[in-house]
Amino acid sequence: MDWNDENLPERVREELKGMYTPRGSFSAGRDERILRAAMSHIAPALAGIGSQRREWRIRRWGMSGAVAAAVAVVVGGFWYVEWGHEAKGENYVRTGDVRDAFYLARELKAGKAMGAQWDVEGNGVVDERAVKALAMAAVRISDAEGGAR
Amino acid sequence: MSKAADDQRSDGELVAAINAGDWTAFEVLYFRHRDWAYRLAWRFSGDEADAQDVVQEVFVYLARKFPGLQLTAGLTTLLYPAVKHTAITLRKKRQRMVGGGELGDLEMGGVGDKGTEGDGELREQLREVMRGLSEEHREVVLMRFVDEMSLDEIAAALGVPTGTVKSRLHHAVKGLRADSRVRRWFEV
Repeated sequence: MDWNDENLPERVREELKGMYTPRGSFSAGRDERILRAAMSHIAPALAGIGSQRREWRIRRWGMSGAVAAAVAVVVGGFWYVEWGHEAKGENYVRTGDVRDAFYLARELKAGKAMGAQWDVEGNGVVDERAVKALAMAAVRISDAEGGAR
Repeated sequence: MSKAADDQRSDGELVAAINAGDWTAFEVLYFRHRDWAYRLAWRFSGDEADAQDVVQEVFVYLARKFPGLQLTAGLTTLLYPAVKHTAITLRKKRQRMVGGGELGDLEMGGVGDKGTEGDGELREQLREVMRGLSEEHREVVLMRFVDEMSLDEIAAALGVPTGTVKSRLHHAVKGLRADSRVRRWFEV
């Protein structure tokens, strides 16, 4: 059989793939760090913070840029939960940044009853609204610190 | 990660979703292209740890392009130069630290000796033959058959016409086929 000049036999292709495939792999922790690093750039950018060159169209959302950013963070928070990140449980110490929103989102999704210290809105209820409030606060903090790098 | 694997949206649709505020679409892009980026970075850096660092830098680089990124081709076309440049830079830095000489054969970096298990005889022969190819020819062979990029994607990533890619690939495969060390693997 004549192999065409732009193709290789399957066995040769498989050997090439094996030669040029690293044996190591990514741990879940590494994936998490990479995505967190990437998100630290996206979240403020989506809020239109820190860059006059970025035009963030939010008319289809019908809400302010800060709320849109908070929703993005909340979505990210539930994604974070899906990764099975180990909960710090009763030992969790609030950080004052977006991780608080992630932690609360995870605990609520797990059906845990949260203490009064998480009632950030002061309405006697700890629910998704508290998550959003924490996320919005994190965006404002990010803005104060200079937004996207 | 399983949800990312099930996502049927194209790279362009995912980019549009991120631009519209759906951050989870970035996760899909990441898991879809992570292993390709890692493999490519390893090829140029010659070091697995460096290659993972390259992957992080490249996806942060990608994140910085939002909102507003317009994808006119596959994501691999956009990321290929970034992965290559970052990996080579890391490798140069490492070689300077250990007092190494010239960078030498960028494509190999010794990685052909460290891949996954395979057919010992064929692999040894193939390794020798691949080393004998020019860097240009070797690159298109690897992009085509290891990275599984289309000819147009390769052309866009390298910044050359598709005809040039076809020509390089033609000559590279012809050279492989004609080499006495591996010719029999081309025969039924």
